[in-house]
Amino acid sequence: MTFDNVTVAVAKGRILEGAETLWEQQGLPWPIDKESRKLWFSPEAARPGMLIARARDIPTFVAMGIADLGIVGLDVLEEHPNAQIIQVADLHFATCRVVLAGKERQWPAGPTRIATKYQRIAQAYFAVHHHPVEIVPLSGSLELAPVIGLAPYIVDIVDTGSTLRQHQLVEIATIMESSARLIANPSHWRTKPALEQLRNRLNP
Amino acid sequence: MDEWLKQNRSEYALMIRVINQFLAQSFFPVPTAPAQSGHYREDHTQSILELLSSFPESHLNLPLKVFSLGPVYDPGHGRWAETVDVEILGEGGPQHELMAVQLIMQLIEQWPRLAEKTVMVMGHLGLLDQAMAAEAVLPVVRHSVRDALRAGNLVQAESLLAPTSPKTRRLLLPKTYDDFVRALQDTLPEADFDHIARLQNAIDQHMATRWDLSLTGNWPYYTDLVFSLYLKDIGQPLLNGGRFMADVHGRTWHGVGFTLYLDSLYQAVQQEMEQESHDL
Repeated sequence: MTFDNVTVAVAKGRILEGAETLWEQQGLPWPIDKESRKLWFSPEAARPGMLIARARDIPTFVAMGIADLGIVGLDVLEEHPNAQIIQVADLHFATCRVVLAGKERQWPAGPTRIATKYQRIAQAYFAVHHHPVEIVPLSGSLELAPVIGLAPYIVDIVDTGSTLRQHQLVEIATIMESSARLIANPSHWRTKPALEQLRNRLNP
Repeated sequence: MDEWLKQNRSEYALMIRVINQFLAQSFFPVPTAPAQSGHYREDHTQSILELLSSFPESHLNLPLKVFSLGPVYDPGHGRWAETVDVEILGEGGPQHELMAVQLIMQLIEQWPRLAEKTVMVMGHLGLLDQAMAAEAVLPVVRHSVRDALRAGNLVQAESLLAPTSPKTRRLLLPKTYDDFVRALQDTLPEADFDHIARLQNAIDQHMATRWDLSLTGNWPYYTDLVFSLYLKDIGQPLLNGGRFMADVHGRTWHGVGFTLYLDSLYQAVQQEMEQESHDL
């Protein structure tokens, strides 16, 4: 089985680093030259092509059929659901948690503000807990929100928790656990046998 | 601008050709509204059934072959897709499944080079459920597996089946007909293999097929056979459909139907159409 008709879209950052390790472990040639700023690498027989993009754009590339497969965090898939992709494997790297954090390890008393870049996940979580919240949408530096008085709580992603500790914040609850997921275009998944072969190599 | 106008003209010529095919096969058009209860139409079937349900049951002469056309809203892409929705209403049994598949093959035959560009993928919710039951999967877990597959989450479906149901799990990956039948015989020896073979034969003489029980269709009303006709290397379906049961205003409808995406069809046959008009 060759991969010269397969392209994988990979999210920048931790996912890309984890994908490189996975590629090496499975004996797949890694297409990206560290000196290069290229974002697109065409497929070859020995390895799939690769397309590098922002995490939230990966499902779009896959749904539109530009990439056959994609690698992106489950947190991104939950926050930006796309009905035109299928999740085909948990790749068990880039593990992290989406958590509720604040200055004290205490569930909010009454209506409160939550600063987050995970508006959908946060809203769904507090809806399940029947707790009234005002969501403050931020795209980064969430740890600042409780420090500067913008919102007493945040919903954010944590890996080791060191960034939270640096800002004197503590975890109150884990909302979801996340890891890198292999996603597929449904049409390509069901018509290109090479995709299942690649899944089996990446997820033995 | 001329190119754009020409393309629009060709797309409408294609739509007329498709409609004429269904009219010639004694299908009746049913006009449906593009919005229902304040929501944009995402599917014609519900609208067709609501309209037909307004007639007394005694007026219905089943089987009834109907179609509706017009755009449906695709919230994933935030766009309208031009579609033709075809329904064979009646008992919705295996005969109607076969009839729908044969109708699709007749449509594809209109463009001699289209079949080689397409792959028909077949799923079957009834077989999936029977396979899980044969491996003693609890009803509540079977329900969760179906929900996960409908949401496109194969990871969750496989994880739910992993501890107890390795045979069903194998059926959730796309396979050739021969491999699928072997895997199904191993799981469900009492399945109706004659019917599966009839469906396969109806398609196989025209185009490649794959069988995959993770294909569950886009809508919750599907009950048995579901299918998607995919364009190779394009990543978009040409049509989706299946056998369904739907309760509308207290009346239960059975049938087999499919939605044909005219944009995808045009993309696939554009060159052939241009060649045809050049030859004329």
